[in-house]
Amino acid sequence: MPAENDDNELEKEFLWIEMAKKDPKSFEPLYNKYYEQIFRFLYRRTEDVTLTSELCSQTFYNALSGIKRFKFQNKPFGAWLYTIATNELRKHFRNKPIHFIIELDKIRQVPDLGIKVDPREDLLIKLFETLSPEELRLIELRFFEDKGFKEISILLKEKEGTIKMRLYRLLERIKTLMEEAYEKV
Amino acid sequence: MRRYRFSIRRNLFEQGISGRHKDFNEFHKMYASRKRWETSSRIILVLIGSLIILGIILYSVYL
Repeated sequence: MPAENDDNELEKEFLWIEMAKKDPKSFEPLYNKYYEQIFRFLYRRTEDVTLTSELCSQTFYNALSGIKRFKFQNKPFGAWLYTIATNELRKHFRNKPIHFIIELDKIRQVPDLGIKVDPREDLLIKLFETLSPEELRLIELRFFEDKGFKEISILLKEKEGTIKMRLYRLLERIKTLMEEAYEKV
Repeated sequence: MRRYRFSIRRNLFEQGISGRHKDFNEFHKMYASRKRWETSSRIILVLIGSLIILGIILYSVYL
């Protein structure tokens, strides 16, 4: 997405946020823009529609309740929503492991990963278990959520170049691990 | 310790819940009602607190 479009989007969001600070009903455009993204993020970690709806509602409730304290820092509002949603997940699951859905259709579309058409599920799960939470989030944002590098860099609070390099190295590592796993089988 | 419990699906919404979108008006109603409830409970708590303090003051004056 060109930088100008990004700036326009941010400007729009800034206006929506300022309006929502004065009138909660003006929160609607932000809600409509981010509801599905946050729903997907939560559903991938719960695989439960009812629970996801509850956590999603709570996320937006917390966001709207705290919007007067929100300071716009030239970053998408979504970054803050993801932080709230992550906190809601942590509160809900506490020390229990969080669920994570690996989307096969999406992962197959990444040729650099070297994942076969019908990979053995146990191998794929073992592979994902080797990823750190940060690496998993990077894979999720880039391939499951189809986000651009600029947006990812904002969400992960890192430079765009660093993100590209990290992803390149990560893909190389996954490819090697995948090839080794298939050789052993 | 394992942080995630992985599972594999063809896509995220295999059960056909894609495009699920909660109506904003419904959300706003829920928000307004919870806010009202929060405000009322805060007022009630302040009233109870004030009554307790008043009770203590009156009791100490009585003594």
